[in-house]
Amino acid sequence: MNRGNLTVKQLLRQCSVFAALSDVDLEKVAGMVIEKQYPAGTTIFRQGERAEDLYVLQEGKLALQITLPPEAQRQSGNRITVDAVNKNEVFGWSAVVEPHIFYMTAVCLQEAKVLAINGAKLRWLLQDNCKIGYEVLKELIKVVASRLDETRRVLVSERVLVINSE
Amino acid sequence: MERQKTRAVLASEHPEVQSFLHDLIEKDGDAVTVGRAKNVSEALVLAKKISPDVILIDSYLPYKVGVDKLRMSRMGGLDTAQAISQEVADTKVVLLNNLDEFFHQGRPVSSNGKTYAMKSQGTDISLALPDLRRETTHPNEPIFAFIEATSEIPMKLAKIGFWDWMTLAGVIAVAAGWFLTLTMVLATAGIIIAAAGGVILLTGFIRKKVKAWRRLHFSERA
Repeated sequence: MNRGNLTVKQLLRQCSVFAALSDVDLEKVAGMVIEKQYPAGTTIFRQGERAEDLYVLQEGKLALQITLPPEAQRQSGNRITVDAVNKNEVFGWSAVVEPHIFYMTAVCLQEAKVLAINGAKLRWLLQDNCKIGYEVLKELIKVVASRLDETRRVLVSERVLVINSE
Repeated sequence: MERQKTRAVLASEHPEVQSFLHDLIEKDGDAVTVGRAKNVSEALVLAKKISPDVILIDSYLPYKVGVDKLRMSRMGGLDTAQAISQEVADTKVVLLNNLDEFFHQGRPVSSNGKTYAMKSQGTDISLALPDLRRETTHPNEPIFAFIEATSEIPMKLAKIGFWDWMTLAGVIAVAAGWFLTLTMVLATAGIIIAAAGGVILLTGFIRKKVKAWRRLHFSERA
């Protein structure tokens, strides 16, 4: 992975979720990381799948989509993009939060390089060390709130379209 | 027989981006633009109505334009590309994911002096109809592509006219003439110097012989 001379620890430091951790704590998280690369068009995970890893995007661009249930499917298409993931942002937070099932599908719009953090090991660390747990979950809640806000925007858009077309 | 051109639809919110894509696909003469869409709804309707050979979609495509105050999602490009790939069998869908890097709010950022190519997985996408029809790797999936600035625009020799060539020929003729003249002057100088040298050599030789003859005759008489 072309990332200059940065170590995994330094890369994690650039992500808001892990930015507040001490060097020692960050070292522990870095030990759970596997670096992965996906070509454009790849689906990293699908809605409904079991969430094994938490991801930090290093390069590329991702779209997060929700799949509409059959009874709510529109005239065309059954997937709606509700958010985009940019560099140093976290996605796949379901790996940390129960019931560990992905609520969205992640599709690579561009070739993507990611840090995949083992969800089970990270949960154990958060549980074992309350300080790390607090810092990480505090930032992770912001990510979840942001996803919720973007989804709300899309929902409003859809409503407006329906109202305007009637 | 005239070659059949690829019928293309362009989908982007911005007219400037549409024009950019239009120029890009028509420069090689393989494709012709048969429709333009500025949002998801128009793209879906056009694709279903005219079944183009290919549709190029900007990934930042709004569902509807003109209601910007509502901060509506502009991430409709992927949804549209997936829907058309699955519902319009004969249409190849190319999703362009980095147009925002070349355009900001529809205005080119730094397009001067560059040429552009449309690429997927590092290789050029050919819009020639036989090439497009051969593309069957993922028939119901869009082609994820990007625009790459390849190089500076090369000098176009076709634009050099008759009088430009004549000027170049004139410059070469003047330079060659001066070279020949200089050569002739040097040659003339060379001949003069050689002749002078010859005269000096001959004079010296004669004087030497005369001196020797005199010395011989005067010494005999004495």
